[in-house]
Amino acid sequence: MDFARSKKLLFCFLALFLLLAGIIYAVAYPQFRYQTVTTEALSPAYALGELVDGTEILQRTVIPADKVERVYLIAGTYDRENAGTMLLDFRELNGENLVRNSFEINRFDNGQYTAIELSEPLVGQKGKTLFLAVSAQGCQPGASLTLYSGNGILTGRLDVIREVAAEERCLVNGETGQGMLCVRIEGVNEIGFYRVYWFIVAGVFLLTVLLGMHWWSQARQGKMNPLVVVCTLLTKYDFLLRQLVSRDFKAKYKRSILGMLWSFLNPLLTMAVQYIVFSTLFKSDIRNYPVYLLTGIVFFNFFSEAVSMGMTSILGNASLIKKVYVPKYIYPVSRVASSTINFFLAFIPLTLVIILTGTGLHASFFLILFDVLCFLGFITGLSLLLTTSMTFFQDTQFLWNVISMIWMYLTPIFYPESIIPQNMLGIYRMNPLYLYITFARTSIIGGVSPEPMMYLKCIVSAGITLLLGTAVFRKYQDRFILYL
Amino acid sequence: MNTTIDTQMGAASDCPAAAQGDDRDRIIQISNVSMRFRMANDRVRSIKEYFVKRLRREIEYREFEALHQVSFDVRRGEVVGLIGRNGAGKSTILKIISGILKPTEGSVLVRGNVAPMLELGSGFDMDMTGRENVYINGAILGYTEKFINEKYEEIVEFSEIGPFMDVPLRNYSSGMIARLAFSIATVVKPEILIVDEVLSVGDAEFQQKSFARMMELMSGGTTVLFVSHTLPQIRQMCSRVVWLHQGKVQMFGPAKEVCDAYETL
Ligand SMILES: Nc1ncnc2c1ncn2[C@@H]1O[C@H](COP(=O)(O)OP(=O)(O)O)[C@@H](O)[C@H]1O
Ligand SMILES: [Mg+2]
Repeated sequence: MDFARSKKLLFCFLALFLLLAGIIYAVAYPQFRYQTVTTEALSPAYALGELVDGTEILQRTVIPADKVERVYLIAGTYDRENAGTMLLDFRELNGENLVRNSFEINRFDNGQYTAIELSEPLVGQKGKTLFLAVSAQGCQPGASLTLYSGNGILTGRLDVIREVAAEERCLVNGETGQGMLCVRIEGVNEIGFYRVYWFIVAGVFLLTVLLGMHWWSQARQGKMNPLVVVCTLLTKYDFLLRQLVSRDFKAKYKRSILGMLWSFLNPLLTMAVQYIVFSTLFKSDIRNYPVYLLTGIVFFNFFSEAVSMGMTSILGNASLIKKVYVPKYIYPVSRVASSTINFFLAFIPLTLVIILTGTGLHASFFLILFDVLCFLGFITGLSLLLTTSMTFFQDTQFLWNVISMIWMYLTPIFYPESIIPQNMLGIYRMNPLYLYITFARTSIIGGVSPEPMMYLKCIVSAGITLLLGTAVFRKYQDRFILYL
Repeated sequence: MNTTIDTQMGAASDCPAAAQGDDRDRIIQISNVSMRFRMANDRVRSIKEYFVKRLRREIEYREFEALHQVSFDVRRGEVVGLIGRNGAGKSTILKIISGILKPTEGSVLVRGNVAPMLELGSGFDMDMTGRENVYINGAILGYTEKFINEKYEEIVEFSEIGPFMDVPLRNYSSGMIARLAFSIATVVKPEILIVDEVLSVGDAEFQQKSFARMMELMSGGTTVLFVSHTLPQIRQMCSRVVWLHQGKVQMFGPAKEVCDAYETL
């Protein structure tokens, strides 16, 4: 082992770790401190009649957040210009008014949930049952809008109809109406994650340093451990690694005239086709469908290409393996690395589309770095696992073709997550690909950091896969040669 | 010819030089190495087959012992020949020394870097050009990019296949491939060079040239393990010879003695 270069490598790694931790904290601070919560949305079923001066609509509701900042209401405008002010109050059940917000009614879109930012947020009422009271000021009959009530919960394409108890229904001028008022209340809860963040980072840093030191002293005695393997791969075999990567990269485009241009064109063309086919179906459910689509395509293509390249890495390099001893990890790793170059190239059209669609490059875009690192770990682990299987059983490839196709349909690439039935969502979201793609979309399109739990899930699924893949690969690597 | 000479002891008494050599002088030490292969026709090559056979409890493996309790050692800077009939296990023991194969039993100690095995018909990517192969193979040997750039001309010149460097290897003859392989592997002095029958494919002139190069390496301290069926070559180049017969060491000793015995067989 080349100790001097390994030391440099180790310091680079630690520096990178701290840099990433810093970037994440800087960008994700709001999401690490506040968690956004929303009540369920009802689909509108019954118009409650024109909201004019003197009308009062009351709805009992449980306040979901420490600080309610936003209310979504759905209104029918009768397709005309309406004028006047709507008053939105939060009241105790005994009638005592807590906060009042007022705003012009001409801001509503017809038949769609419209967000209303509360200039006077409701603070400190989380978990309490309050009345939401809607009334009007200066709204004349013939020039006002109507609110809706309903009893079906919107879950994507299907409504789940709920029994609404009498006291839960809305009251229009004191009379019990049908269903509940169509309103979504959104707010933030403070979560303590931002306080423990640096402790976690410091803990992980310390553990890494301790483990590194332990492995380091083992390496000095000539013992093998992961540090030795990684350092040897990156120092002694770095040129070989680069050669293998460039060979695989070249081989991919050897017989095509457009060459590397395909790396840009391929995701764009796929996006164009899928956009044409699916946009009428899903566009309305998805904010910024082109970017949504392209993110999914770029991530899934990378996954499928890297894994199928990595899977054949041992068989494909049989001639080298039979000739010389090189740590065999280098073969799957080089294949994944050459796919990663493609993946990075695909970010060029992605960035282009982000700019062209006016999505804007948010600071949260940098969080992709974390996402991609985890994704790489996941892919490498899976490649190690599958290339082991592939070396012994060559029908692994056919099995994988089927599995990756099913996997594609189980991942929200071109469709919105909302078409998945509510009761399946729990399982559906355990799919690691779902995690990595959703993480990317939240940071690119949403412009905010995913919640802390997402980070944990990404790391854990990558870590488990990588450990499992490495363990299996290590156990069987000495027997590969007998099957080549 | 039924006695199998048990190595280390035998070797030491056969060769006076060995008496002074301490352990560190032995660049390769092989003790009681056995290698068993599963027979090829029993191999289960698909997942379906595996589970079907597993369920029917049909999985049983017949084993074939390619090497049985092989022991010998090689001293730094020595040229050791391996002889024996086809299938005797020569290539297998060389692969074990290279680290390519792990022995089923026994231990192998190698104190030095082993250059990629020079072997017939393997080791190159047939779809890539000669030039690309020089870089990949150089990289495998642990050379730096700068070094290969510097040595590229020398490699091409030595291999004498200049006009073909940008042609995919599948259009090469086996002699040309051997030349290229030999040129790459010997452009610097590797600590250990393993040559498995490669030299026999080149033409007379190239054989001459490669001998000269190998002599040069040897004088520079490279340890060479050398398989050939041409006994005069062995006699000329090797100090000691291992004679393998059906996976066992039939004889191990000074080149002349072993070759004489092999020839009178
Ligand atoms: N991967 C393998 N699987 C099964 N049998 C093998 C394998 N490699 C070699 N053998 C067997 O081991 C024996 C020794 O082979 P080898 O070392 O190549 O002989 P040689 O002395 O001609 O080089 C042969 O009988 C060969 O069939
Ligand atoms: Mg052989």
